[in-house]
Amino acid sequence: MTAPTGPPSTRRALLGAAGATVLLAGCGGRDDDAGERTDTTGTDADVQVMDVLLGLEVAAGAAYAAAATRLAGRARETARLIAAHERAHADALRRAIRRIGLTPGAASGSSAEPPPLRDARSALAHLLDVEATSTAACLDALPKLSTPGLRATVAAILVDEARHEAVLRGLAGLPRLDSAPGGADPG
Amino acid sequence: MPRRRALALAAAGAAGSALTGALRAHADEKADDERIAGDALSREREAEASYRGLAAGLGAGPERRLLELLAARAGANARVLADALREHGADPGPGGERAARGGAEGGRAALERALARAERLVETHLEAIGRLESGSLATTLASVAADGARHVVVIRAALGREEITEAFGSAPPP
Repeated sequence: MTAPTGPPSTRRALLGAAGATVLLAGCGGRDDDAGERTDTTGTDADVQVMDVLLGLEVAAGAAYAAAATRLAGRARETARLIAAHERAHADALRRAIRRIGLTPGAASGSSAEPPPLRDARSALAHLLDVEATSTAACLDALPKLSTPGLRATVAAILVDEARHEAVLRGLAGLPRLDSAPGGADPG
Repeated sequence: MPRRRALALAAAGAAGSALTGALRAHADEKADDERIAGDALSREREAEASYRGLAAGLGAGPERRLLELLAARAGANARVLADALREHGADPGPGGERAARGGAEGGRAALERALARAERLVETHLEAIGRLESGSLATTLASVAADGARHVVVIRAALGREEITEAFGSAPPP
């Protein structure tokens, strides 16, 4: 079976949304009144990286909500469940940013127009693209973060995104396992 | 000794002590990271052996094929971790954990055991990432943990369970 092809430029649009969010909201600043435990070892570079991820999570939540309208039955239930996951991820990122004494950007994730979702197939293809973008962004962010605590937060989100991707592949009629890091045959 | 020279010597001594301390701390961190990543590698190798052993205890069928696939992927992940350790300057060891052949317990029971191992593997990898100082080792281990999370989904699907439940299913919200 061939993979469903997503609407063009979806990944670029998502990354654009995240980037625009950061630019519009600013990258945050020192937040001495965050009211949470502060780990002062974080840096401004950390918050820039985390804000991009935050923008992507907010955009992903919106993408799932929009896609759910084109899905039915178990696929719709799953999209709604994962939308809640994405909101939980965004909350975790905001908490992590506050823990390093900074203010998260006011990510809206809505600055990019979502692609037209004609039917369930295009909706699932779009969501697979969303997950691929989030996964790549997490892997790109991890070595740039300065503390194990921030990396643990992003790794926990990455693990959830990998689960989402496998579930979506199953819903799209694809093998749930794509290629492994070492190239093991997915069967 | 002129006062200026004495001050210069004292400053050099202090700088030397600080440098020695920093180097020692760096060496300690590096050794800790190698131990943490080495433990993760051992767990991945044990998972490979376990999946292979469970598969060997089954007759031909979808459960056996899935377990063989999981063993191959765990082996691939172990090689990725071993390569990362080598790049870090550490010896990953030979591996070669022996596969304990599963008993005649049936495909479903074998998948239940594989699921328990896969879930524990992801949890322990995530916990280890929070202790690694090296960003590159943490990134490699995170990619392996992500692959393990996919394995959990596949096994749950094969068992007819909900494939995903709550967010942060493998770790409490950090």
